[in-house]
Amino acid sequence: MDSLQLLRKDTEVEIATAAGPTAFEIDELTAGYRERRVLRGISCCIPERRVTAIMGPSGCGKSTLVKALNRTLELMPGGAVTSGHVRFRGADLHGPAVDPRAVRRSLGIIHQQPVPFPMSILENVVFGARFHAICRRAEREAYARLYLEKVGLWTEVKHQLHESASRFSGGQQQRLCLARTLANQPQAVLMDEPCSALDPYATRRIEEHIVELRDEYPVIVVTHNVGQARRISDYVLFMVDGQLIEAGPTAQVFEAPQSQLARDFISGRFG
Amino acid sequence: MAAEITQAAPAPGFLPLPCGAMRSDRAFTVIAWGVGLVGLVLPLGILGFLLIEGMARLSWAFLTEAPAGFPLGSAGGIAPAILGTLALVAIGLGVALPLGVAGAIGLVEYAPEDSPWVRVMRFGAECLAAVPAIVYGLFGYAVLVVLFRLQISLISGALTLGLMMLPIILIGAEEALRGVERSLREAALSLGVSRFNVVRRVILPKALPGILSVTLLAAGHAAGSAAPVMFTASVAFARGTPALDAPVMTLPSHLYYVVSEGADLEQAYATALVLVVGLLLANGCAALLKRRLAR
Repeated sequence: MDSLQLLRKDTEVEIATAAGPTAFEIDELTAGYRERRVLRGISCCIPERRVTAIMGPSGCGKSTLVKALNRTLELMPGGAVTSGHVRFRGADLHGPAVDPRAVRRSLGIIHQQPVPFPMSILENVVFGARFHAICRRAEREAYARLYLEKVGLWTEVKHQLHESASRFSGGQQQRLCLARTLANQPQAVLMDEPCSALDPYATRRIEEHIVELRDEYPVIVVTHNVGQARRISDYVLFMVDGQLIEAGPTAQVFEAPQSQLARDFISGRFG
Repeated sequence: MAAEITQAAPAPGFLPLPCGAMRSDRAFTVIAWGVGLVGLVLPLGILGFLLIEGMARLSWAFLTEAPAGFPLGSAGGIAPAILGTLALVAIGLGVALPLGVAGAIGLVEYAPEDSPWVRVMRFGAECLAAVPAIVYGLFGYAVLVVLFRLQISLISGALTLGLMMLPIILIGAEEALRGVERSLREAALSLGVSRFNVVRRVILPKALPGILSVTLLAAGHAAGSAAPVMFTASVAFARGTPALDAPVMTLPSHLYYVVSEGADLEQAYATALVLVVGLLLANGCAALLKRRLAR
């Protein structure tokens, strides 16, 4: 595919973006929790090896969308996709033979609140990798080191690998969670407001990692922070009230937003 | 017409606080301290009373010898009763703990959320936990001793105690599991691992201190109850190591016999002291273990 089309059928917002293959294709996706419909027919494409920011005001369905992209929405009480499709590299996430656990393993997610598991730092990093038999018991220290180095935690924790992670600062915990997700060897990395519980310094470190990740994975970052979306993303999806209002390259959306809603949100008049 | 609001004239120093509110705050503080002291004095008082009345008889021989004298228990020790109680509670826990924790895991982790079955089972467990101990004793006698022909034996008594501990452990373990943050479950499951793995390695370790507390509560309750073992396991005298198919002595039933036979009351106080101190020791160990687990 030469030019990627970020396409929204019902409101005819059509944006051609720079060349590049597609990672996710989202087609008329509706989803919600029990009777409450949160996503109302989202259609768009998300490119490979780029950072795509999903932004919008609180409660617009950003988190629901990102959770629907790796089937962790089903882990929420009553959460379900009601219609539409999500394809990752051509494979339907909700296909009949697809195990949701395989989807969750391949499409890693970082949550808003970093939660270390009640085990040692080392065990935290290899928790998923051990289950999926990616790393053998004998080599878990070397394996964990690889990913702790990747998130810049190794020098801080190399002497306390067998201690609990509960005394970590929020930023360190979030980087540990990132290492844990990357150690699972995912094919894409999703992040649900990864910095909203962090101080500005820790936020900057996470943002640096996000930009580095782009070379290896398609990265999707949910954020309500306009400045953050502008700093780290290549593409932007702008949502309001469960609908995709605008989508396109970050520079284009920020400099020449096509809808009044997007203009108001970016300029800080609402959101 | 709105009342005129007068502003206080500027005075030197800090502004005064409302008198009435300060008075009621002082009164509440006094009441809280008073009630707290009662809560402290009562258990300490019981322990102190037992220490004063029973300490004289407490000796190594009392702990290691069988009861003797006439009426039985007016001399000698309580070793078979200690062994019997330990065996009953240990075997009962061996049944109740795995069943209770497994049941709680089923209710919390596997059963669909707010399904009517979960509510029915929870209600059932709560009712069972409120059933008086003597009713468990009667049930154990009718079903285990008579129907299943297990006789009055250690196994009948242990199963009865297990049945009595099961709902307490089930409810407590359920609370402990529900107390584990949802975000932890979500984070673990979103790595694509199985639910079993998450329960075993993430949820259970977090809930363990709570499960430990309620297990000890149930075990203490069982160890101190005479009623459920009266018709199912206990006899006035037994010696040697407890065997599954033979009746045993227990501390609470021995206490009951000694008092009702009008044997030496000091022996009874010493027996009660052993029971209470044993429970205190068990609680202390559990508190230490919990602190270790929390680290």
